[in-house]
Amino acid sequence: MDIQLKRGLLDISVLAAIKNEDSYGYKIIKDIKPYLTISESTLYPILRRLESAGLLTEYSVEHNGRLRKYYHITPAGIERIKMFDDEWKEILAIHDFVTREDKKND
Amino acid sequence: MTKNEFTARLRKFLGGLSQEDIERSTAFYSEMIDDSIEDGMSEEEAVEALGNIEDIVISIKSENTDKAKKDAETGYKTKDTAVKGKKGRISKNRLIAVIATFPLWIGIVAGLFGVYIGLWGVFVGLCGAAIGFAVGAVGGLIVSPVLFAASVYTGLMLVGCSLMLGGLVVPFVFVLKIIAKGLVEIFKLSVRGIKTILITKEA
Repeated sequence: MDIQLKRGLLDISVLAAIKNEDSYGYKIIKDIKPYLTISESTLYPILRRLESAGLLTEYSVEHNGRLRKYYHITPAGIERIKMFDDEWKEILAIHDFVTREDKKND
Repeated sequence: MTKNEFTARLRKFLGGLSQEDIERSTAFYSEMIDDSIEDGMSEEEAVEALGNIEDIVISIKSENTDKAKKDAETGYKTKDTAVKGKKGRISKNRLIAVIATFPLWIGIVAGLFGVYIGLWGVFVGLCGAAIGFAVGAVGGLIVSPVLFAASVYTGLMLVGCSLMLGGLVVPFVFVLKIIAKGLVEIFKLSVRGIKTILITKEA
């Protein structure tokens, strides 16, 4: 998959993983892994980027005698997911066009 | 590798970043190891699952150093321009307003432009002086043996003067670099200002 496309999809996937319930790093990776290849070293910069963009916030919770960081989606993050939905419809329309034109040559 | 060994190595490799960034990154990976262990992995397996430490360091450092650049690329900071894919375009109304008020601002703009060109003139003049000093210094040093043959004192004086001229070149180059940077920055700011006046993002 194209690196830029994957990067964008990973950002959205991370936001989606925390949309309904605040989540933490290890769980976010587990949730996304069935759909996209993601590692810890990929997730960390994404979380930093999304946080500095105001799309998520973080807070720490004590868990088994240590601190675990949870990530919470912001209204801007929810808006970003909605935007992705709209963008994806446009991509599907383009895909339709491309495959239709491609079939004409067959 | 144990968790402590891993975090110690990570801290060492992240040297150069701010203490806050180092603590944050280390805490993130430390949490990942703890969660993996809770999920049933051994400590060594959990550390191994994180992958190559060099790759981890590269990803953290690149995110920190290029943060501003990447924000601009992804467009998250400027919602109106990049995320929605809207590009600025020249506002007709603003263009008409600028043209209509032409007699009011042309004098000021021409004056400022004159001052700007004048500053470049000063820059060129100073460049000439610096080159003159450098040539004088080198020339003096070349000629000095001849004067030494005639009189040691005169020869020494010429060498001294040449070294003084050579020494003057250094602060001149330093000042010239600052002036050139400043003038280029003024030009960029002016272009940005003109764009802000003429281009609208609502269109």
